[in-house]
Amino acid sequence: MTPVIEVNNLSIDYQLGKRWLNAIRDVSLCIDPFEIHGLVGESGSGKSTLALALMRYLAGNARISSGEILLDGENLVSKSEHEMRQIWGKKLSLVPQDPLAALNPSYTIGEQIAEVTRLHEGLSKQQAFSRAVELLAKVKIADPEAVVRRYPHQLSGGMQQRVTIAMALSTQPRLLVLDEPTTALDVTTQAVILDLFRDLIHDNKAAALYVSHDLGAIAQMCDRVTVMYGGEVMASAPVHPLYAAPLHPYTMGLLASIPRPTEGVETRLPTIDGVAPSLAERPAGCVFAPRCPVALPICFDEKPPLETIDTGRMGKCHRWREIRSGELVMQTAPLEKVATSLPPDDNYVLMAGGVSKRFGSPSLFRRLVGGDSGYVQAVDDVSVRVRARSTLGLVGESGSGKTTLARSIVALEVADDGQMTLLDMPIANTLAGRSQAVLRELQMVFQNPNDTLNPYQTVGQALARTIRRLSGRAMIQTEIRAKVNDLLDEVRLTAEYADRYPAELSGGEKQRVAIARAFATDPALVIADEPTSSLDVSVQAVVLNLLKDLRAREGASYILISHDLAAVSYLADWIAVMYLGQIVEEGDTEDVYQAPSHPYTEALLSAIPAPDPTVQRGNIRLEGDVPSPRNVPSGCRFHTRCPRKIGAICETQEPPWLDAGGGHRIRCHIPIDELIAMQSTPPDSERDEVSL
Amino acid sequence: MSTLRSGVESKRASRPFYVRALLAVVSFFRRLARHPVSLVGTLLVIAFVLLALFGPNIAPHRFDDLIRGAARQSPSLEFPFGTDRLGRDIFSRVLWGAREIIAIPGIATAISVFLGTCVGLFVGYYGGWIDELISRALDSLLSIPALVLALVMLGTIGPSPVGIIIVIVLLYMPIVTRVIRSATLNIRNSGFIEAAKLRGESLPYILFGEILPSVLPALTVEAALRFSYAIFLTASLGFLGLGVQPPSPDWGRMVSESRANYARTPWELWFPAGAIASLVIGVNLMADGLRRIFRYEGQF
Amino acid sequence: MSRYIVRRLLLLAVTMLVTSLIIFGLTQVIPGDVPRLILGREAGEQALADFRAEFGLDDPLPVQYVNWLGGFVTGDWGRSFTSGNPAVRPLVMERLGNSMRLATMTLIISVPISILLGVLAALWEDSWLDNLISVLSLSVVGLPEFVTGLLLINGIALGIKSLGLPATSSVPDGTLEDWIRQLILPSLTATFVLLGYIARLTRAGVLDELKKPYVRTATLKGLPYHVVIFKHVLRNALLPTITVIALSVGWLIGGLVVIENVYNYPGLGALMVDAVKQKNLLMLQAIVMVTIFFFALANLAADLLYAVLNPRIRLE
Ligand code: SF4
Ligand code: SF4
Repeated sequence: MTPVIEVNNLSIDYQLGKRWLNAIRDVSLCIDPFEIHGLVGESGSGKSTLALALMRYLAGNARISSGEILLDGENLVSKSEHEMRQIWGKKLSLVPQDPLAALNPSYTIGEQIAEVTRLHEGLSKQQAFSRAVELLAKVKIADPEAVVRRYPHQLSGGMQQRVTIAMALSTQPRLLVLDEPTTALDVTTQAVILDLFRDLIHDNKAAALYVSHDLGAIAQMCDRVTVMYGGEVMASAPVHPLYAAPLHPYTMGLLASIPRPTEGVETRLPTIDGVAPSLAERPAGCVFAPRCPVALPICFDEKPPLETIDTGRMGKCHRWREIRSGELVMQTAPLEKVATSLPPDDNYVLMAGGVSKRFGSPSLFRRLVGGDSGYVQAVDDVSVRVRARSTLGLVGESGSGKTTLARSIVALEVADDGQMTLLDMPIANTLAGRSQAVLRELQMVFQNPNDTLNPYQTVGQALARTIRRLSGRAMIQTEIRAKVNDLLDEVRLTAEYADRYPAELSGGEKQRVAIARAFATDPALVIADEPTSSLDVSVQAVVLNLLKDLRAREGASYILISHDLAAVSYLADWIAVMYLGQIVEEGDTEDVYQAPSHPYTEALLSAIPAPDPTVQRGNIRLEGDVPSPRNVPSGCRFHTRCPRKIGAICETQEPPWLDAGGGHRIRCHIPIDELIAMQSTPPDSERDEVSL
Repeated sequence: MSTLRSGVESKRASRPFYVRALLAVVSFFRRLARHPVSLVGTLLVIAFVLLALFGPNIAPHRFDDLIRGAARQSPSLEFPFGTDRLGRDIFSRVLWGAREIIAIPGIATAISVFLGTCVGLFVGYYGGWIDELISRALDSLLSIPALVLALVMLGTIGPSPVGIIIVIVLLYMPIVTRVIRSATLNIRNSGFIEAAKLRGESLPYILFGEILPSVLPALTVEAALRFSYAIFLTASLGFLGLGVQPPSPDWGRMVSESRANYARTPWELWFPAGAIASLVIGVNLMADGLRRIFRYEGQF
Repeated sequence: MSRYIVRRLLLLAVTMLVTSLIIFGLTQVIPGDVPRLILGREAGEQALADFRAEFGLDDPLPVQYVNWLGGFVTGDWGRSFTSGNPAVRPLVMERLGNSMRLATMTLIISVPISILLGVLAALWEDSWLDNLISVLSLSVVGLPEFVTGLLLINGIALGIKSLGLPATSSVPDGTLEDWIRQLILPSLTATFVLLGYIARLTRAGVLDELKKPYVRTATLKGLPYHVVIFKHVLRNALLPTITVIALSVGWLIGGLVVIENVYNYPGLGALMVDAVKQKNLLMLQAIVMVTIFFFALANLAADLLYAVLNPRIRLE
């Protein structure tokens, strides 16, 4: 079988100032017809650069310094830009990362799809538009006649991504490049889109390159996988052996560092220490050597060759033979950890009752002119409790109100309603109403590592300021300095970091400093808002471990907010699932993962792509989009999307709390035993065959 | 974000303040040197500021000296810019005038920038109805064309240095406020601001300790731009006869008065006009250089 | 969209009301006894009292304000303080017409040139062309109009006599030739001010859009370069430019004070300088109100145009 695309020894350089830096080195790759090829790597691995270079699309300051790209045997490297324009959109199509940004805001969906077929297939305007309607119908967009006349901003994220794939498939391309196409989507939407993509690609007999950092999505989507690190291919293999028996230390480390649900609260994740090298400081030997736990001296001096291990399987490591023969064993299973903490006790650190928060007070103008109120009920009468030395996991998709709830607890938002007690003392809902002592006990770790530290303060200054403000007593300079060093040590950073500015830190390091800052005052409760969502898997493991260690050592409690159930379950012993401003289920982590579950939780769990190609995903998919919180559905808030809906009662009556034992509660009209019964035998979902 | 200090990158905060300041200045000029045009502009501005400071001391004559027998001299070694029909040395008059054309816009810009920064930081951070109220009020003020407002105001409070300064402040303070407000809006929800709130920091500390450093690039570029427009405006008012009153030499008025004599003493027009032009262009080029250094893509 | 328009119209009314208050307030603080200033030192008490009565200067300030505003809205703009006390409105209207002629000419010259320069500079970013345009626009934007104006008069009108351009401009008669002859130099002077501003904004707008992912999408559809630029990039990149052009119309109507002075052109700005110097209150108020009205109108037009061209706002 001749491959659709074959890349041989491709190298790409970037110009930085006057120097040319090597970004992609000596990469070979080949994709057969009908194959979905996964390209996986962490940020900075060069996977996106490679994916676009495959289409011979380079940034203005980049050049191909050697190698060839053969599309059906034709070398693209020697083609002029003009010649490439005959191929782009016709034989090579891109499904972009951020669909809203990738669509022109000023033209209708129909216009933008029609453009491609008019150009490459010479269709008339009329034909191209009716073709666009057909295409939209095939990507399962309801009411395509109306959607062709809409503008991108009027569609939801999931719809926008369907439009881009319709556009990409409109000319029956030979190769489809999908550049992180679901990163911006919620997990339930991602599940639907991934199913759709896989079916469409197979039905169109196209080959595809699927670029992602998500080992789960890759496992579920792809036939073969290439792993990139530091601009080089580390390993390439069919998906099953790659996940079952990885032969490269980097792949092994990567797979091991993914938190998997229900692996026990007392384990630590294996990690890959250190950070990926920047473009300018790539090592001369094996690029992975500085972080490789089994590196030999030769690894630092000599670049290992990319060797064929057996058919379709390649690896770039000096030691793959030892690994394959089993002489060399790497720690890949989660490490058991001796419990150093006392088990959670029944004292509540925090109790918050009946918390409500709505947004969007009308503007001055609105108030003068009148008109609708425009309120968004972000959190609606929610109660949570956190036990001492335990972690409450708040889970939900965007718009669920989980972040607003957390911010109301630390008083960054002022709750409209609700009582809170911290360590059995009532606290005010506003920051101004809280004493120093209260502030000291409640700290927060923020989501975005890039704005969590003031770019104009050194790490030491930031930590010292917090210590001085909240220590409650006068401290001398040396004492503060010592405390700063202690804190840095706690988050495993050397004392040198005190003099660094945030711009000199990696994302993971910044997040560690942010954690150190939160612990500077020995708080009773730390709220972590998606602390790892923007970090790479290997770095995420480091941060999660750190949070776990600190909890054991400092005896603090957490509220951990995340959309990622797996990451939450690694830390949390109690989980609350939120949907549209309300908690729909809460309970012990183990219980939440097992039947009975709220239908929404069930769908969430079913949507998570398992990082293992042998594990079949659940087949419960949520259609439609999350309703706007401006317009909360009546009765059960979930009824517009619920696959288990039992009838009119769901639309009219608010469901009651059902007790499933052990404090595990579910808010649904379906009785507990029926839930258990239906969830042990999932319904046959009749997925229509999609064809294009 | 990190542009302000990236010049002192590897140098550590433990160095004494003056060393860091010096290093920052050196690196500023080194980066400016990458854009020769901006460097020229900056040097031009520095030269003019020196003139403003020392001009009267180095001027060969007083601005109102009537030099006997030297009326309508064309430029020569003795009178580099020539003399006017009364025998006054144009070179000296330009030197004397430098002080006003730089001091008035300079002071006015400083006040506008100071007030604008304070208000902008406050409303940008605080938001809510205060922001809406102040923004609307400033919008109304901005809805009056600059020169129109200046004319009306000067017509009423009379042309005087203080009057011109008040006019400029009223005109430019709202603009600075807007720029700083939007820069503040960009970072008010950053993690580091929220962390500061969570440790109970006071409002002034958050505004000036946490936010101000981040808006400094925008602030610097804006200040340079406002300075240039203020010079422009001051010179135009002088030209219209509404600037600083005689006998002190005002470049704008010198240009306007010389028009009648253009046929006989063209140098009387070109030297003050050239001085204004090179000063304003210098400030503009400097502002552009600052904008490049800070990679600040604000309005221009 | 209709709600948006209503909102904007309301805002226009409020702005006009507020600024009218500011203007009225400002003109009240004119120091000195206005009647005395106008009528001269020899005027008797009776004459002064008559003057006050005639112009309603004895009424309490709020009454004066309401009278003035009411008169203004109904078209009675009062009489000038100058000799013969001519009615203000026809005078102002005539000058307004002249100013509009000049504004039209300026827009015709400046808009195409500056957009072209801005687009070229952006497409060849960091080339010598870009640098040249950048330095040029930075320089002309900084030159006060009286400097460029005098340069043009002395260099072209007086310097190249064969062109036959007048050193001072008067209102053109109907012919195209006269339009060009009378207005070309003042419009060029105004163009210098606008050019750098619009060109730089256009350049920034185009560069901004070029960075956006949809440009890559368009390119990877295989569309020819010119289609990518003209259809996709410029459609979005010129939005802010259009706003600025609309705004500059306001400036062109009332803000060309210096240019009109340099060329002795009888526009609204020149009239305003006279009114200020003569402390001709009602005249000044009328001119300022007209100018502000156009300024606000231009603002409104800019916003509406932006909304019409931008589906993200139009379909809110
Ligand atoms: S070559 Fe050496 S350093 Fe590189 S991955 Fe293999 S063992 Fe590790
Ligand atoms: S109450 Fe009805 S709609 Fe709501 S989750 Fe239960 S079954 Fe679904």
